[in-house]
Amino acid sequence: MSVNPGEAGIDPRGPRVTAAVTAVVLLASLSLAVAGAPNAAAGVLAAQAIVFGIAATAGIHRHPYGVVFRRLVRPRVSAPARVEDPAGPTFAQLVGLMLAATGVLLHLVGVPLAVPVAAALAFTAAALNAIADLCLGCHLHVLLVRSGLLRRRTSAVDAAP
Amino acid sequence: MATVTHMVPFLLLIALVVAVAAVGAILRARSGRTVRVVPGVEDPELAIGDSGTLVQFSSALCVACPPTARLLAEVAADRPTVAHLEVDIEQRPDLTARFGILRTPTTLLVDGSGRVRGRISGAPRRHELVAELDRLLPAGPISAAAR
Repeated sequence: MSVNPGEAGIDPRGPRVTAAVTAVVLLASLSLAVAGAPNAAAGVLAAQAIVFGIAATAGIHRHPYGVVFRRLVRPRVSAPARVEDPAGPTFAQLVGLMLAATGVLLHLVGVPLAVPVAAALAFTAAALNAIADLCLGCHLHVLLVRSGLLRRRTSAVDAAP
Repeated sequence: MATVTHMVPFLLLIALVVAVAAVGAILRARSGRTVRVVPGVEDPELAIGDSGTLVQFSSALCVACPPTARLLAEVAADRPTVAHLEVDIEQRPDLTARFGILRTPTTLLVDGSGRVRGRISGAPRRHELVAELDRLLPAGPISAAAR
């Protein structure tokens, strides 16, 4: 791709496939917590927090799980009907990072249900994104931009009529 | 290791997955469907078209809004007495709050008096939109009583 996807807009299906993978990982953390392995659950959540952090800083189009969409899904589907501003989904990764990091940190301090609660919340958001195309982090991003707490990072997509 | 201690968390996990899957499936299925609304108070500001108006609530960073605007404009263009009105939720927070707009695009099917007759959350499904539009907002002075 000669154009930077971060500027021109991304395929809106990419973040949903990524969200599906994320939901599976978070489900693994929850399962470990339920099975009585709280430290392993925290470890998986910590690994997911790192993934969230990479995507939040590098942009949703450079998400580590993006390879699943690019290699498995994209070759099998036609070109996207429209492109999406990556600002919302990238911010959603930041929300995920904050949730996961809080869960892990509280666990290290000794709070009993920190990991399963954080993983459950993040799982819900990721699963709803994958199934119903609802990006809760994107909505939060819009609210924060509207309230003036965040500057809107515009891209070429915004300028389109 | 008592099975009882592990049953509750396990069942909670199952309940979470089932609940999320169910809510997700319902939201996905309802997206774009035209839902009939019990007519309420008249809002003359929205009554642009003689027989009805397609009022679209949009926002910036809304991927589905421009294609929805094109669709609604096209549908309205086919019907001389039906208008298309686009509302930016940031510019009209009063309307956004009054109609409980939670998602963009949300389209209201408003009749000639300004009463909301139908509602579509998400990008409209075209066939259903057209069918409901012609049913809810019959065009022309001779309303088809046979409908």
